[in-house]
Amino acid sequence: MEVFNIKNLSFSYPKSSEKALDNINFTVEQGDLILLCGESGSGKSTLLKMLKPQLTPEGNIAGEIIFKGKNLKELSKKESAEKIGFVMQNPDSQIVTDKVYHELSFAMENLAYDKEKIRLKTGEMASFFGLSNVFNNDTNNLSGGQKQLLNLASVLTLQPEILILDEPTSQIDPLSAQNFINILKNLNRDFGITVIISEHNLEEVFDFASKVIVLEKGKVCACNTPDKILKELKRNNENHPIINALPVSLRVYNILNKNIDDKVPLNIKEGRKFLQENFNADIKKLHETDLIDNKKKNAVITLKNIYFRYEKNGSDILKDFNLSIKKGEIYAVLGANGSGKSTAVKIISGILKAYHGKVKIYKNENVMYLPQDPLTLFIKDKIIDDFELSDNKGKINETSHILGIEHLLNKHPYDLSGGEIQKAALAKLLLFNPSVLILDEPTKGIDAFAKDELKIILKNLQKEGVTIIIVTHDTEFACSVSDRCGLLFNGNIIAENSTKEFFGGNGFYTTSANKMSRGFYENAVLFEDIIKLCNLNGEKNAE
Amino acid sequence: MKKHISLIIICLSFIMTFCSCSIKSTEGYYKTEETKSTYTVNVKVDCITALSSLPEKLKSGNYIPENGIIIDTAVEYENGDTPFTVLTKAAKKDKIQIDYNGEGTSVYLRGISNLYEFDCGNLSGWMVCVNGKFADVGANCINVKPNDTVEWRYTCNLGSDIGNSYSGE
Amino acid sequence: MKAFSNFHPVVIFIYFIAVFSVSMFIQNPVYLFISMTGSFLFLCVLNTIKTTIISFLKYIPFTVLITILNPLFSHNGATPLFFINDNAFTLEALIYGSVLALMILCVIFWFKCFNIIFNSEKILFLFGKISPKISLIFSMALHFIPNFSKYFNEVLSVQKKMKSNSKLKLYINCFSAVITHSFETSVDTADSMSARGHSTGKVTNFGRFRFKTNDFILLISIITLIILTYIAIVADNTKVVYYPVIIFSNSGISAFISYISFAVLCFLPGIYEIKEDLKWKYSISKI
Repeated sequence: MEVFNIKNLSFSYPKSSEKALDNINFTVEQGDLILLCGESGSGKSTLLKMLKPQLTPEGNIAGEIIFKGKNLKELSKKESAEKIGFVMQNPDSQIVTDKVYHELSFAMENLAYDKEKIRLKTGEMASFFGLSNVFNNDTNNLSGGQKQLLNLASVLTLQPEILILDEPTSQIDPLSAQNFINILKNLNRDFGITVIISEHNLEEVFDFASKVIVLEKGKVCACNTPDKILKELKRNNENHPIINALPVSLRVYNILNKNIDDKVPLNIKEGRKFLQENFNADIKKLHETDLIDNKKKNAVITLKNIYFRYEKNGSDILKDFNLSIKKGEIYAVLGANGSGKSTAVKIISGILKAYHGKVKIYKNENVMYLPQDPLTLFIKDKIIDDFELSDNKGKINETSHILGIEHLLNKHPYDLSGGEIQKAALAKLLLFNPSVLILDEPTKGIDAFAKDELKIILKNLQKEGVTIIIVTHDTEFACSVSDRCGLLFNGNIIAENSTKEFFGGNGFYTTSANKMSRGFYENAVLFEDIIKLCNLNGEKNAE
Repeated sequence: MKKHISLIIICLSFIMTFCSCSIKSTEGYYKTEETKSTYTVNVKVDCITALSSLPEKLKSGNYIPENGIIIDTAVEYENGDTPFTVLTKAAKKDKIQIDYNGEGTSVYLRGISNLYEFDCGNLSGWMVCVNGKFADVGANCINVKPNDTVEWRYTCNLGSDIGNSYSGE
Repeated sequence: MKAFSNFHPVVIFIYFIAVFSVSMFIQNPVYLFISMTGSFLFLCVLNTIKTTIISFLKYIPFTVLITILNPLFSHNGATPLFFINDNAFTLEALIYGSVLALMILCVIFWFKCFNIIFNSEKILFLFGKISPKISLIFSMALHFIPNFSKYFNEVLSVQKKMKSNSKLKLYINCFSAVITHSFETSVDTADSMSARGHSTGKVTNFGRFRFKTNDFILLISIITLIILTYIAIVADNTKVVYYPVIIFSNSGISAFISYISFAVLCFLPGIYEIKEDLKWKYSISKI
């Protein structure tokens, strides 16, 4: 049975000649999990908002959206609130009330459910989502992952028939994201809830989707089942940008396989099988030539025996924390939520002060800090006004040219996409001529394309002699950009090594490429490494 | 350090205000001083209008005499005396309690012998007349001459019951 | 969780109104003394004895100040102790000042208890009874305010690292940036609200409280006690006149009953807490 039938849907925002959505057609069957992907600004959010009447933006709509045989416009407010659930991107701003139980009951209060039903549903949802132990807590004290789970749970209290999620995991850490996606899969598989989800990170959901829709500039450029989508994409455009965002197994398959009609490896398990069946493994390891000898370099920042806590009677966030950053390197600090990564870099940048221990920053080193929320760097109405607050006005043009943000200078910071604001924030810091840059979660909420751009920018900065410290959850990014990595656990660095060794050695805390090639090749932590090794070894059939 | 400085300043200002106050014992206050001047001023204080509606608290205790005249005496005249200063002298002499607010020209008399303004309704309070003429300025703003008669009278109706023609606006 | 806070919010609220109405408006030192010791005991049970005594000691300078300030400004009273600048410093005004100080102290202490017992959930429940809308606004404010100040501090700490010419300007800029941020997020919040069916029609208010037999018993006892207390007050049998001399009217049995019932009312929560505490300890020892 069809839940949604979208016919010739076009949409343009008021005062804009450009079509945000252009002639979109697709159907959603009961029990489907539809994955919507595309670059930032391709119209994913707009399309999803069209499906929820309460959120439909002002503008010119053409075409029809049929919801269960009825035009969406004819649905009453109450019906559409109840039957179509919507979870947005930002976990914080969706929360309305101050207590977890109140947030859970909020939707049901609005629709005047009776008290006994509310009592039952809140309890049921809290148990199912593992929120029972925070049931009485303030919503402000939840972690990002818990907040997003709460948002999902609160929407599900109304028992919607279809769930629409707009990049629900982009603002939360990978472990919570995985948990969130697993719950979604469970809801779809066991409870038959139809799901439409848009995502940047396709690794987790891709193989589970019943249909993948790729949007490009407001148009559907591919719409098919996961195993056929690659072929359809390639038919339109051999080097479609979205291919770089696909799961690593598909990307490897895409490069190494000439005829795409075979069975496509959709996840890591199938990818591993694909490698083992098709390639030799005589050469286990790439020959590292460009390994920088770090020991000879001078340290620019050293931290010794740092102890830190937020409250007088609280527990220590950092315990006997030691770190030494060498001149000109890119160092990535990894670790789970709450392991003290952000705290550590805040201490280096001088925002927080350790109560015990020594932070030594060598002479002439200018340390600048890019906070987790880059918007906090901007306090004016235009990007350019904020840039002009710095002493170095002459450098504005040059810097914005290098980062490619000239066209954004007259915009309001809140009108920029995640990738754009990250670049603008970086530009603002560069105006202060930093010799050490600290970036806190620079890849949070940005897509694969913007990540690649950021990677190139950081590499170029490194060539100019800037030392960079990155705090991140994003193993793929850390792996592709950093020279050395440290794993923070329980208040101090428990493992530190050059990136290749670090990820090659870790069992679970590693990249998808390494997971896929584990046991077959050694230290192949990047997608590029696998390609190189496969090409070196050659195909099995060729022998 | 800033905190300490402000603390010291507060303490000092307390001590200074304390020193500038003159503190007298009850005996010291009521002790009659020797007469220096030969001129006198007559001071009368009455609350005849209030007798019919005395508040509960004044019914017992000898605060208000039965005829309603609280003070009827002559005090010595000094240069610059005002209706207010002669009242304080008379009250001191007869050991009558008075209560007032303010300093200098803005002095406002609230009560004599525990009979306060508003004790007999919202329109009640003390008024002063010199030689039968009600003052239309503050009690400490006009000067009295020797042999003047200063009358402080209690009104229950903004002065109309004691013949103050000025009131009634 | 404290035992007394498990009662129904309406009952607890009525209790506090009853106690406040006597402690705030009846200037009789006997009531105030009873009320003071009652609140002190309650606070001791809610917090620890040590912290209660410390907070009590902190208020002593304040009480002394009020006691002294009153006679400095009010010269009413028949018994002058001495004269400052020819103004009487009377015994009556001094005593009245100390009664005032005791009253303020009482109110502060009861309010401390109220704060601990009456958390935001209970306030929301009460408001929700009157109007679900007010209740929702209150709840949103409780969610919004900590977020706002947290974000403000974040922006400030980041901006302080940048060079800026004046501190005041920096604060103003940061503040306006945080306001903008709040507007931006509130758009999302509004979306999220309407997506979950806000303002589609009739609303219910979900509170997790049920009116139990215990609540009924407590309510009846509160009402009885407060009526007994007020009989004497209304009849002026416990009236105290401070000026010009202090008259303490303590006429007969009705005043006595009034004092006793008010004492029971004030000590009720403290004793209840202790009783529940002992009950728990006893049940533990049986295991």
